Amino acid sequence: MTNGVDPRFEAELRRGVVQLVALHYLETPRYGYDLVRLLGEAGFAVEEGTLYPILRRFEKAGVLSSRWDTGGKRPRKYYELSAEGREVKAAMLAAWSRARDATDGVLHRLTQEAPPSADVPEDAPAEAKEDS
Amino acid sequence: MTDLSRRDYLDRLDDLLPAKEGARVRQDVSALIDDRIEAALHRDPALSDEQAERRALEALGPPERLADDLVSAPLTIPLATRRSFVRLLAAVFACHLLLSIALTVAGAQSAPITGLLTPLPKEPFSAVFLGVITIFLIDTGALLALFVAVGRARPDRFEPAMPLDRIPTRRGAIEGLILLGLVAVILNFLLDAVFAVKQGDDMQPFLAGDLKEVLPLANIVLVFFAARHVLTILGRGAGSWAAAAGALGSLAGSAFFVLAATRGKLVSMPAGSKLGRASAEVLDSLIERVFLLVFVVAALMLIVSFVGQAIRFSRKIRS
Repeated sequence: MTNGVDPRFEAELRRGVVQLVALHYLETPRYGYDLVRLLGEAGFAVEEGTLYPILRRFEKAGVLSSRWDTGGKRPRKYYELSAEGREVKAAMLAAWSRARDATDGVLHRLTQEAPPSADVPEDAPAEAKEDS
Repeated sequence: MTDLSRRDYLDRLDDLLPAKEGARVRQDVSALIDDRIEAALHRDPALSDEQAERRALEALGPPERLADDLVSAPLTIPLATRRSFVRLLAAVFACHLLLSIALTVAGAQSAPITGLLTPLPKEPFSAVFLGVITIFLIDTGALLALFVAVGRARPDRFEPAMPLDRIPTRRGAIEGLILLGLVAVILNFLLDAVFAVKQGDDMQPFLAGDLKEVLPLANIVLVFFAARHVLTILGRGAGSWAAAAGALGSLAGSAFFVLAATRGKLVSMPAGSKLGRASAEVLDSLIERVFLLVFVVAALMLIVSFVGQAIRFSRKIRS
């Protein structure tokens, strides 16, 4: 536990979102470490050990296409969203929006329905202030 | 954290993954390591190559975890399967051990089922211990093969034979107590009258002396079961004491039937004017086999019941 929050909560929350964000970055061809760096800068710090299985799974499913660039000082593997991947990304984005809207809706309702605070407001009558 | 070198890491990963994946993943991961090393050295020129490589490998995590994450359907054992396996193993092992003990006590010299069901060695202690371990390993392997073959789809189908949560009703307990009382009366007072054949005008008992010697021990079994029924009648049938009484009764009953089945002679038909010696021997053999079958089946059922009760008892203790 960190600050009362189970670390698994954040990890599970981020697991799906990282996939979506990674697909977004892969609209243009990128190699693995480049993607790790970009995700880190965006606040989604992931290690290669977490990201590579995601890329491999997407690659096997045809969501990503890949090619080896051998023109540099050493070969690099570039990943890019495929045509099928764009559809998958759109579906994931829609699922994310639904989940976000539903969560926002619930949290908003809970805030509205929350019982009045025990603190007496500034503009309360003087008797109320004395009672408290 | 990993203490492996880059080559060892990649070899380990290659070894863990399916053959068709290994070479490709090795190439991909190798490129990832190179990129990470380059970035680390660029950020911190004071780093040695070894330190940069170590950081790169740490970013990948242990090869075992990476391999698990890379395989689309990692092997998992659901809790229901694990529970069924452990319970069935306990029951099968108890039965197997019981049969081996019965063979040992009966003085069997050869194995009825070679390699599978054999008498245990009687000494030294280490040989007895190894014999028991062997039985356990055989049962574990056999059960594992069974689960792999047919248990994957519906592991829970193996379990109905051992209902752990079945607690007798108060009415059932009263009926059981009456039945136990009848058995006790027959066992202690009416044995020769019940197990007898008519010879002329007289009834002649036919249970052999060997068997009659051990029959009083059945009273211990009856006491345990009676205690369980009494606790049920008092509304404490679901408690740990009732489970303990049931477990001890089943274990004692199982031991009793093994003891009875391994007596030298179970039946002795009285030969007389109407029943010739040869006919009496044929009847002896026939009834003795029936008795043996009943005793062995009863012992097996009771040992399975013991396993169920013991699991229930341990649950009660834990809760």
